[in-house]
Amino acid sequence: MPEYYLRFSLGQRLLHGLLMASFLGLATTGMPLHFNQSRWAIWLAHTLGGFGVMGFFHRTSAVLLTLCFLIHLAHLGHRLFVKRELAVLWGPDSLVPQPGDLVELGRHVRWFFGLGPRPRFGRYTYWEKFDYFAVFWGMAIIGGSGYVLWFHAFFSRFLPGWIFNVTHLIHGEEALLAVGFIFTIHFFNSHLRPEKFPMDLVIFTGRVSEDDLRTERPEEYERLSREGRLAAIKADPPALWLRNFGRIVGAAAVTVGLVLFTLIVFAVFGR
Amino acid sequence: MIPRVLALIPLVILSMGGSAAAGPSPSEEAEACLGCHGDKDLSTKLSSGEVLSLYVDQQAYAGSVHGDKLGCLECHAGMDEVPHPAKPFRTLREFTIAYYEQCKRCHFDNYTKTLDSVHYARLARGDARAPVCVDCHSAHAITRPEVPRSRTSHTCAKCHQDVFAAYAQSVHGRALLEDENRDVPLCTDCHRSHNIGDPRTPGFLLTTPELCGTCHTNERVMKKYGLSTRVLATYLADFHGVTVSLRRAAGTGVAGLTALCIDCHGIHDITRVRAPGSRVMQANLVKVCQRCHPDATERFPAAWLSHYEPSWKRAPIVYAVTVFYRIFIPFVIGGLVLQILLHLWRVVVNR
Repeated sequence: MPEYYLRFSLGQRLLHGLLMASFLGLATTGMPLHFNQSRWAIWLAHTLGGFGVMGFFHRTSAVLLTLCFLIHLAHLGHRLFVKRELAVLWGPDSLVPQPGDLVELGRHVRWFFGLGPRPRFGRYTYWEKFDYFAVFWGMAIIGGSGYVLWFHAFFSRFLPGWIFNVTHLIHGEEALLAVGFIFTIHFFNSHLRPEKFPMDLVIFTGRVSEDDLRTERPEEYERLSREGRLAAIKADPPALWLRNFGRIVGAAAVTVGLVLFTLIVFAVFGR
Repeated sequence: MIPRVLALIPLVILSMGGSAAAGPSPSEEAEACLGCHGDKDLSTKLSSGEVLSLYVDQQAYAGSVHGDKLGCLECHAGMDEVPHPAKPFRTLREFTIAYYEQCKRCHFDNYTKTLDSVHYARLARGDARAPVCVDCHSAHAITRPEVPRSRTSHTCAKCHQDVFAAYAQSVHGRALLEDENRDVPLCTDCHRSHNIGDPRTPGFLLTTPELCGTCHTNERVMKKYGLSTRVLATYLADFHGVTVSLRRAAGTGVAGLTALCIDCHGIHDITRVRAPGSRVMQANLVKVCQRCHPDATERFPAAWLSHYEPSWKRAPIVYAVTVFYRIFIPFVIGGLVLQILLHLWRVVVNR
């Protein structure tokens, strides 16, 4: 019986679930609007109840994602200001990019070209940090511009008119970037890469096996055992139903994402 | 084009046959009828009490497009019996509506078009005031309806006085009425002549951008007046135009529809953008915006790029953002995809 360790808490997993659902909702209802001249976009919008209905679901998803963003900020604030966990800001348990990440990136590229060994990854790899901040930045920029567009009359009281043209552009282009990023790079790095194909269930089960932890994140494993923290995060093996749940939800999300991405590629290069 | 040419063939044959056939020529036939109907006072009283004049102005008929082609009996069939058989018309209008059907014997094409018109729809609903062929073209004194050009619009004005008054003051109407300008639209250029649709339907409203665009994207015409031909393209690329395209594609209703050309520029009272009092001048624009965006403030209209495409000269910030993303997105996505490919390559090599 292999040992399992907890990597993501239930709260983190639920928050990721909310993020996933609202992001997929936003992408499915937003991209047909961005590519409104494409035949598939018209078909999809019509099938989902028309562009008006899509606008409603787009805004609903936006509110959910905003909620997700605020809960995360509140959680971070609590850890930082109430529990005084400075590890949030720096060190191996932090998502903040640090000089070591650049070294890791360099080593990874060297490994790509067969010029060195694979880097010894820790709790968060450089690309996971990039993922995190891409989403963080995306939520702030796309969300912010989205609210300006939603309440344009209100914002026009104190913002100059050109802001709306720019927010309109930014909202669409950043969204395109976000969708392109999540549906290819995030999917690949987290799930589809050969080491994990077809799916890494850790975001659904929260648990990682001792073997996986040791081979994928040796730096993390050694640090935890050195500091005697491994026992504290020991967990039950993930239940079968939980693994199946993760497989179904994950497969559905990846499918929707890849289909949407294919359609976007058609729309971008087909015109 | 081909069907139209083909449609002419029977007409040509008919007219050749007509001249070859024995019998009274149109003018001889008219002569006989005008023995009585040349009398200005000839009339009959209908059961409604209205007086139906039976006088035909010989000069006007001879000068009409039919003068040398049609005899009286072509339209007034059965009237070669004298005295004429009784006709059951109670009112003048009944008489007109019954007799206009005669036109379709030759002008079947245009007649069928009228069946799709908003005028016929009213007639079919029982509104006898709806115009029929002769109301616009007259009965005997029919001449070419668009000579002079302004005549067409004057014809519509017989009923649509308010619309005509507004049109007469517009940039289009003034050019037509003052100069017989050949570039500006007549009523019929936008509303069509026989199959006049209901301009309040979504089907009509949603196609108005292209309707305006037929002239306003015409390089030759627009050049004369120093107007841009990019107005339609810039409109369709913007949020209002996108919404129109979506509505049209989805076939959804017009309720809460976005701004069309006519919502900002006006319909019949369109003026030059720079004319004094123009509603789309910068100074007046906010009022136009407020019709749909009641909370819009003075700053709001600046969001509208006035049909200009962003460039370094016009809306440089918007243009800069466009250029930035055109470079940034391929750079980021391309770079990260490259990483994926390298990763895959390494895995394959290591195997």
